[in-house]
Amino acid sequence: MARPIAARVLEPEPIAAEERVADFGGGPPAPPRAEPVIGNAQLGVMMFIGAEVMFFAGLIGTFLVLRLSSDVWPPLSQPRLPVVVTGFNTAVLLASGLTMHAALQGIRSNHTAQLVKWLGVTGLLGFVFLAIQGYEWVRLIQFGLTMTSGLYGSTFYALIGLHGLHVLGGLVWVGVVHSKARRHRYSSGSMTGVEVCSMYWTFVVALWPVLYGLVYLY
Amino acid sequence: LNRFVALGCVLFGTHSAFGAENERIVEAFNWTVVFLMGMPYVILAGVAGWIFYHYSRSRRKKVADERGSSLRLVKKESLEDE
Repeated sequence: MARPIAARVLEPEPIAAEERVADFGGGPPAPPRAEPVIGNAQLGVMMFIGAEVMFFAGLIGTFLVLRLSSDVWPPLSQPRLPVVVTGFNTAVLLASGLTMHAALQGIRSNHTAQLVKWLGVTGLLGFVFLAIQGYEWVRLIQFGLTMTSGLYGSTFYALIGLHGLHVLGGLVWVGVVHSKARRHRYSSGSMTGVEVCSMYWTFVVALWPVLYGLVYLY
Repeated sequence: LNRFVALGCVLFGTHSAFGAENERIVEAFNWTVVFLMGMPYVILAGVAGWIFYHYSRSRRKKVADERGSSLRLVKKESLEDE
């Protein structure tokens, strides 16, 4: 007969929400934690981009020393760079920045189809950029501009080549995000993966006009 | 000794190494040093601007959400009164 008594003792009495106190130390219940304005992933990627900016600043510094100290640039024996084709390529890469922005807007308004579509277009434009760069490089090598042909060649391939590697890395990243977006892994409440990818791609796109202006036009 | 220590400085070093006859190289180094010195400040300004943009956007969104919820409440109450 003691069974119902024990059951009654173990069952906690219901407490009204306003009477509840914290388990340790007393006091009113803690207010709900405010959501941070900037997530840890975004902050981490921003720090990574800061390091990348310094990396490219070092390379641009090297280029500036060589460029400013030369009387004739490019050296007379070296081929001229294809300014017009690369100008078109610049437009292609800038357009990919816009499509990436459209993809981000799509997932912000919870339109997965829009995200998938614009990410696909971004990847395609990135691929076109790399393909044109590759074609240019083949032609330049045929004309005699190589890494070992002089300071002009080595600085050109170091700066433009490393940017190309960054575009390739970004392209792989866009591909991964695109594949996950197709499987409906993102929503307006969970889109950190898209945001950090967009940040990196924006950096890669924004860097290119600086390099184009310095290496091709200056 | 002073001269030896001062060679550690890029500006003094380039002047000593290249001399007045290579003013162009010295100037190139000087401009590059200025560029590299300025880059951390550019990054700092960029990150600060980015944080400020996100912070102000989140505040605007919060205010808009609060206005929206109070408007919905007023609308609900007026419908209940009717």
